[in-house]
Amino acid sequence: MNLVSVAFLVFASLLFILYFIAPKKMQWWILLVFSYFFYMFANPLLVVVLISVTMSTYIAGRWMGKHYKAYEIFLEANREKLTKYAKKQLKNQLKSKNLRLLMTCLVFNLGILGFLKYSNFFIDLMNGLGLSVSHIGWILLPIGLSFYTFQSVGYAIDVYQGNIEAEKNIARYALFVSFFPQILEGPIGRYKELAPQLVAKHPFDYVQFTYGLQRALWGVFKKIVIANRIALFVQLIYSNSSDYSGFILTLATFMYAIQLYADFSGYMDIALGISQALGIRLTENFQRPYFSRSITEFWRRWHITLGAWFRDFLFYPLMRSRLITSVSKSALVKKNKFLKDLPIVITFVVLWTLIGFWHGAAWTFILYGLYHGTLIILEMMTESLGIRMRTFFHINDQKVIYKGFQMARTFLLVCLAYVLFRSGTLEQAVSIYHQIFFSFFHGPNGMLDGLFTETFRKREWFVSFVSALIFLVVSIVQEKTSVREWVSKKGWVIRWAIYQGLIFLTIFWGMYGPGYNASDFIYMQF
Amino acid sequence: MKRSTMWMRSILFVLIFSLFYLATTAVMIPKTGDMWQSGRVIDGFYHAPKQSIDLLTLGSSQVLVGFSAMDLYKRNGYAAYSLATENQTMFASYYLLMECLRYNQPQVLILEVQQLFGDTTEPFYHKIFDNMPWSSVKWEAVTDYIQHNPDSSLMNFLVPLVVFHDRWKDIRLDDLTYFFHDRYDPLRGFVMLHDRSQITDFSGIADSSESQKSSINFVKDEIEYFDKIKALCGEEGIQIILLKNPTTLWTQEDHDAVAQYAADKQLIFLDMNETAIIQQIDFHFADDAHDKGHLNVIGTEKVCAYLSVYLKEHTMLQDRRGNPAYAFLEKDLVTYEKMMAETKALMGKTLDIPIKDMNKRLIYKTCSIFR
Repeated sequence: MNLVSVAFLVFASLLFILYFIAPKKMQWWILLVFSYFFYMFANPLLVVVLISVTMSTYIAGRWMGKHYKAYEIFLEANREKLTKYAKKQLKNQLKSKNLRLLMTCLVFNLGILGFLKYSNFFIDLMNGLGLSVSHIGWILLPIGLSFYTFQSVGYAIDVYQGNIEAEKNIARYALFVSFFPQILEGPIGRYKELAPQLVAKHPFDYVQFTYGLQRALWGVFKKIVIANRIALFVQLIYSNSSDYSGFILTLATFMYAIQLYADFSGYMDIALGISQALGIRLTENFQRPYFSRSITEFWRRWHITLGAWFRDFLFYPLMRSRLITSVSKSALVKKNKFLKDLPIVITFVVLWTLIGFWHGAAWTFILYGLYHGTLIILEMMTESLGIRMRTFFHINDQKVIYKGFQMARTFLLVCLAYVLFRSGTLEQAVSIYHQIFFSFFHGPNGMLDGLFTETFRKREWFVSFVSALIFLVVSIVQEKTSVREWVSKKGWVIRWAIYQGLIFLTIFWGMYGPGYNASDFIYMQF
Repeated sequence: MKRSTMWMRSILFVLIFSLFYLATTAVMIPKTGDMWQSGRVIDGFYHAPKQSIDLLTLGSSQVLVGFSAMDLYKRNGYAAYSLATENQTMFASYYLLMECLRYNQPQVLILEVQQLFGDTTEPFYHKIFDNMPWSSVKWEAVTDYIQHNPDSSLMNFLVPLVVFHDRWKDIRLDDLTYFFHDRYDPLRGFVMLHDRSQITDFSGIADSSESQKSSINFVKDEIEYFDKIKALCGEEGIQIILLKNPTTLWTQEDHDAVAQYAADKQLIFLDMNETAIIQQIDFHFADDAHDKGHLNVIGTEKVCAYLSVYLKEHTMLQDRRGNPAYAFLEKDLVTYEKMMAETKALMGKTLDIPIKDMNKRLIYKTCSIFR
C-alpha cells in the first residue's frame, strides 16, 4: 500500500479510530493485524518471506535467551563451587553455542536477502567470467526486505551480545518486525527503543496526535509535490542522457538530489508522523543532510539508522576482529604510519562496499559506497592538514561564508555520486561524467535543449522552484527551532490557514492520480 | 485542553476543509472547458423540470451536436431532451437512461449506434458520472465500471479531485463563475457547432433494402449494455429508435451490421447516411457538417426536419405546444432561436470571435486533461 494514496488515508483513519477506542491492552494487537494487512495489501505471497524472517530471528533469539538463562541459573546455583577457570570455560561454551545459533540465523536471513536481491547480480558476474548461467526469472523481491531483515538481524545480534533480553511473545516480536509505518523504508528500529513502545498503552493525546498528522502532511507534500514533480524532469533527462549537454545533466543531477531527499525524508515524515499520532516515537532518520559541512557529517545526518546499524553491527565488530587488532598492534610496535591507518582503511572499504551493495545489486551502487568511504577516509587523513591550512590563511571556520563554502562543497561531492546512484548502468554513469566534465556547454541539440519540454514546461519549473523554496526555508528554520512548535504558538487563524493552505497546495500541486505511475518511493526498492 | 474544546476544534477544522474541498471539487470538475461540453449537458439535465421529457436521445458527440430537441419542439411540439455526450458508450447510455427514469417517463428513446463499434477511456466516463449527483444509480454505475475496468479505482470517482487536481493550470474565470450562472439548459442538451467541413467526397451509403450480411463484430460489452437498455425500455414501455447521423466515419459494412442487428432485435434503425435520405434533405457534407464526423447547426436542422416527419409516422409522441405544463418550452424556444441566429452568423468564421452569453461556452479549447 502506497503511503500517499487515498487507500492509505482510509486505512490510517480506520486504524486511528479502532486504536483509540479499543481497550488499551488490545492496542498492540490492532497494530499487528493492521501491519500484516498493510504488508499483504501489495502481494499476499510476500508475507511468507516476512514470516520466515520473523520466525527465524525469534527462534534464534529465544534459544540464545534460554542459554543465557540456563547459564545464569547454573552460575547462581554453583557460584561457590566453580573455579574462575571453570566459570570462564562455561562462559566460552555459552558464547560458542550462541554464536553458532547467531551464525545460523545470519546465514539464513542474509541468505534470503542475498538470494532474492543479489542472485541475478552474481549470475551476471559469473557470466562475465565466461560461465553460462541463466537468470532466475521467478524471483520476486519483497518490498522493504532489506529494512526488516536488518531490523530483525539487529535484534538477534543484540540478544547475542547480551544488550537485550530475548522476546518471549512471538506476536509482540512479529509486531516489532512488521510495524507498518517503517516496514517499507525504515527507519531501521532497534528493539530496545521500539518494542516497549509498541506494546505500551497509549491513551489519546490530542497534541501528539495533531503534531503527528502535521508531520505526516508535510511528508506527503515533500513526496507528491516536490519529489514526484521533479522526478518527471530527472526521468526525462536520465532516460536519454546522451541527448543532452553537460549543463542539463548537471541540472538534472542537482534536481535528483532534491528529489531523492524529498522522497526519502518525505516517507520518513509520514512514517514518524503516523507513529507519533499513535503515541510511538520512531528514531529520526534525517537531520537536513544537505547542510552538512563534510561527507562524514553528511552520513551522520543522512539515513541515520542505516549508518548506526552498520556502525554497531559491522564497523565495531570489524574493528575488534583479530585481523584488525593484530594490524593495529603491529603498527604500534613498528611505529609504521602506513600500518597505523591500514586497519581503518580495510574496515572502511568493507563497510562502504557493503553500504553501497545494500542499496542495490549493481556496480554503480558498490562504487557509490566506495566513493563515500574514500571521501570519509580522505577527510580523516587530511583533518590536521585542514586545520593547519585554516590557521595559515587565517580562516575562521565559524564564519557564515566559510560554512556556506563547506556546505556547497559537500553538496557538490554528494551530487557527483548521485550520477552513479541514478544511472542504470556503469557505462551510462561514465558517459554522463564525460559529458559533465568535457561537454558542459555542448549537447547534440544545444546547451539548453531539454530545459523546457512537453512534460516539463515553465509551469512545472515554477511549481518545482516554489515548492523546493518552501522546503529550503522550512529546513533552515528547522536547523534553529522546531517548525511545528513555532506554528503552534501562532493564533488559530494563522495556524489553520497554514495547515489548510498546505493541504490544498498538496492537493493541487501534487503529482498523483490516474496517468501518473512514478509514485513509488525510491528507497522502497532497496 | 478540555475534551469538548478538542472535539469542537477538530470538527470545525474538518468542516472548513470540507467546505473548501467541495467548492474546489465543483470548480475543478470540467463542465464547459471543451467544445463538447458534456459536463454542462449532464449538469443541465438536473436543472430541467421533472416529468418534462417524452423523447430522450442518448449517444456520442455525433448526436450531441446533431440532434436539436428544441427544433423538434418547434416543428412537432415534442418535449425532447438529449443526454448525448462525447464518446458515450452503451454502458454510459444505460446508466443515463436509468438516471433519466428517476425524474421522467420518456415514451421514445433515440439511441445513436456509433459506440457499438468501439470502446472509450475513463476521462469520458468522468465527464458523465462526476456531474451526476450521488444516487443509487450513480453508485451502481461507478462500481460496475470498476468491475469492468480493474485498472481504475473507485477513489477516482469518490474523490474526483484525484483525477482533476492538476486542472489548476487550465482553470479559467468561467470555471469559477459557473455556479453563479443559471445552469438551466434552454437547448435541452444540444451543442451548436458552426464550422464548415469543406469535405466534398461524401456520398452516403446504399439503402437498407440492399443490406448485405456484415462480417463486423460489435464490442462485447457494448452489446451487453445495449441488450440491457433494450430490456429496460421493454419494462418501461419505451419505444427504441436506432439512429445514425450523416458522417464520413461510417461505411456500408457498418450500416449492414447495425441494420442486420436491428432486424434481429425487431428495432427501427434510421440511417441518415442513406443516399435517398441525403438527397431528400438536400444534405451537403461540405457545408452542413462541422468536420468529418459532426454536423454543424445547418446540418442538424436538416436532419431534424427529416426526423420530425419520421417520428410523426413511427411514434405516438404528443404535441405539447399549448400545454401549460410545458409552457417553459416556449421561453426556451425564444432563447434557442436567438442562439441559432447568432451561431449561424458565425458560420465559416474563426473560433476566436467573441460571442455573448451562453454561446461563449461553445468555443473553449479542449481541457488539457482530456487531450
